Amino acid sequence: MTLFQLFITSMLTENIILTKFLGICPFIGTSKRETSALGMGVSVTIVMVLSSIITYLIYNYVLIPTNTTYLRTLLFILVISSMVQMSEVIIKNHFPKLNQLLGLYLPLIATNCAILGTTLLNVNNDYTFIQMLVFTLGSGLGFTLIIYIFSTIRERMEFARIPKCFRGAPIALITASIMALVFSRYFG
Amino acid sequence: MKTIKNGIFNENPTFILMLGLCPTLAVTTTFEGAYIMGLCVLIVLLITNFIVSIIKNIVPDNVRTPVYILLITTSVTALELILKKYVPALHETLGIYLPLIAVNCIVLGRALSVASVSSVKKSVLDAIGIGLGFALSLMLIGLVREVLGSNMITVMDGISSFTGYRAVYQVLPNTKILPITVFREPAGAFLTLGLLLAFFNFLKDRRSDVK
Amino acid sequence: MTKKRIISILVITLTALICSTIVYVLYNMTN
Repeated sequence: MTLFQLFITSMLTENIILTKFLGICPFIGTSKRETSALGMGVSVTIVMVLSSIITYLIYNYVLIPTNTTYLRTLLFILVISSMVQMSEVIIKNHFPKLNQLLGLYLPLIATNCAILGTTLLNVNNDYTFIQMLVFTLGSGLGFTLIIYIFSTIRERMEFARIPKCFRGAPIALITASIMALVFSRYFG
Repeated sequence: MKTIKNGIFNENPTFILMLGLCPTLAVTTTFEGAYIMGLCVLIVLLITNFIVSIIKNIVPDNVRTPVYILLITTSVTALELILKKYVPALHETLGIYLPLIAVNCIVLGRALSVASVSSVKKSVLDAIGIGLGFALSLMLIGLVREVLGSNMITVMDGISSFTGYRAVYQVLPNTKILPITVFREPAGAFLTLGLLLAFFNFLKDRRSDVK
Repeated sequence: MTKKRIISILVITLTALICSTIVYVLYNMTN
């Protein structure tokens, strides 16, 4: 598979939210407003790329040679939480404007399935370094794209007359199901 | 007993708390996947809540979250290793969603909100309740999805290497209306969860109207 | 680096070491 194909696949055809269900928690939580969705998406993408690089390197150059691959979950989680902490500190001190946009969401993504999921997929699929970068970037951007589209739909749905028992999560999920259908049929 | 019922009904992690939905949508393509995942989460919950309620006074406040996460990850890795050894087929089915239990909001959430402040007994009971609630909700979704999506009910397939039995049933043979493939796909997962959630909300509203 | 910080890092490192050891033992038991 060429790099371009890999990128399109990870972003659209096998979108991590719509096909792998990674990152559902924040998906239903922060997708109500466009700005919060965008903030969440960008934070996730940044942390995802950084963590993936580090975890990939550690996995391939430390864990495999020493035959300790069973430590990967522990290690990945440690790396990811440290990345989140570090990003928080760096953004707060050096990019205050960015902090306004992203600040609230960074701590939330420490236990985000999407980041751990993507790092695990990187090693499971045995990518080369460049493939890993493309895949991770594609996944992160795909996440951002979907969460953004979703937030615009949800903003409009607030004005629609929806039966009481469907309001909130159910209708969100049904919308997600339609999106999943569309993406799988159009791009699959 | 009341704690357990609470975990299943009032604070059902899937339908009320809406936590830990990643594995919920992912492994429920078969009934077996559903109840195995439920079992795994139950085990991790039990271990975590038990240990956390014991060490809750030794752990300094500011390091609570990382320490608990490490603890949870260890239980999950232990489970991974055991499953890989005894039922490798099942390990394949669960795929990346097994290690993902480590960042599952349910386990960490319960550890921080319940096990950190309650007695050992209460924490363990809560773990059983929430774990059962999660497992039952998953089984419900898995049953719906598999019956509608594959016209089958898989009770024992991946674990047959362990138990020696295989139990896969066909629901309606020779029928054209089933299977409806959409339910096997991710779209069907969202749909099933959304519809079930709406249904339970409906029941909840009915009950509060009656009161 | 405040004292609190140092203790936090130490506790986390200690926990990580304990956890890794547990996993290591289990790995050797199942392989």
